[in-house]
Amino acid sequence: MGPLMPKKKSDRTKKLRPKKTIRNKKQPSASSSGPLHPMKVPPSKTFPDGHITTRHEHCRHNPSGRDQFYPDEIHEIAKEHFSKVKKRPCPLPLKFGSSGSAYDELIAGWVQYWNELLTPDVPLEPNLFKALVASESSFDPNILADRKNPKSARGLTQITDDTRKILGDEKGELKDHHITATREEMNDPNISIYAGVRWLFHKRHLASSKLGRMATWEEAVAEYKSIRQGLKRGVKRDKVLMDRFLKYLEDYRKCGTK
Amino acid sequence: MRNKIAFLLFLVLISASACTIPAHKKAAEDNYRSKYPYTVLGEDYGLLTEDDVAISSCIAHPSPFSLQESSPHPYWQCFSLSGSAFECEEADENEEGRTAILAVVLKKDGITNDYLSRRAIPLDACNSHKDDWVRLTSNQKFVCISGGLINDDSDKMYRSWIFESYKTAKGCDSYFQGGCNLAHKIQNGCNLAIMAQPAP
Repeated sequence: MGPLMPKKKSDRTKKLRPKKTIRNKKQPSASSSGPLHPMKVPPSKTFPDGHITTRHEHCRHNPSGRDQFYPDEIHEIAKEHFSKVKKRPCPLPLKFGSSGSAYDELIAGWVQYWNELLTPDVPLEPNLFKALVASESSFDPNILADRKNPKSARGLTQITDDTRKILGDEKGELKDHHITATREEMNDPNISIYAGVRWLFHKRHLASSKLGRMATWEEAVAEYKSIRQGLKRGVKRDKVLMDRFLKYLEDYRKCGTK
Repeated sequence: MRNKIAFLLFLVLISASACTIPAHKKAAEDNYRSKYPYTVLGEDYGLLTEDDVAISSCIAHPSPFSLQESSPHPYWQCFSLSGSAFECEEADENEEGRTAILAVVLKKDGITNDYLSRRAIPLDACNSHKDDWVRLTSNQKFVCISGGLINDDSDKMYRSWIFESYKTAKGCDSYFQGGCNLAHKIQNGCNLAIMAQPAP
């Protein structure tokens, strides 16, 4: 199979993001599927107090011109391309049952996608990302970390609500390649893996800035788990948690790739 | 003299009944041990039910416990609460602010058992779990806790586990939402008919 994401942005737009310009003109039909998004309309003569309306995600205006992905596009890419991706993580479910290998195709696809898009010096390895998912959620897509707080980490990659907002914020710390998804959509394995890989790339970028050199992917994982500085200081528990992740990684690497 | 003997006998009977697990709890224990022979390590002091034990299989297939091998399957163990601690050890700051590693520390046979959260969590969330711990363990003698083995460092009298949930006679708390509720796990896709079987 060819690359998922051609390197030139213009090509990318043409091939995978044809909707950027079309989207603004397209009118949703009554039968069109996909979620509606609430939109605050500022005060005007007609509505002096402003009001809230809804918009279909296909109609969302994109004034910044930055890539902003929506769940329907994420599903479309996965459906069209990922069954052909060759470099997959180790298919061993370890002891996690069938869910331990249920997301291999999505992991392989999104890892390749982001590798092609962001062209890191050392590509992210599908096995490493699978080990991260194992350590974070034991492959349970429905979990929420804190029962008292719906904003807490959720889904396969344990993306928090704060992280979700950063991932979607075109004026925030991410320069490009955003994702707009609801809190609940982060329980969708496809969205969660897409967002998780993107977040791991960002965490590597953050760790590199702090270190003054390119961080390794293992350091990016430590940043993802908020234990990187503790590891540097020799905090025992941080090391135990990192060792657990590394053990999964070792097990997956043993069986190689498909 | 007869009164003294009767009083002593009364005391013995009272203390024996306090330490004995009721027959129906024993039967329930026998039942879950036959269904889930690997999941509970040692005594359960009458605290665990079949549902508690079954939840472990929703996370990972059961397998015989081994100190030589880390395991994602959460094993239940019960400890005396004397010398126990609940700690929120501060970790890195991130986009959510201050974070901490949640750690339940329990001792048995001179070994410190450290049950840890999977990652650093917001400090507030850790403190909220700590409040629950104080509430659920006050005036209790024993706690049962579940978690997969990370590493055994018996030479240093230290054993680490991933924290899943714990239970006292007062109630249960878990790391993940619904982690004390089998119905919730089943509703969210846990297939016990498959998962309760040993790992292939």
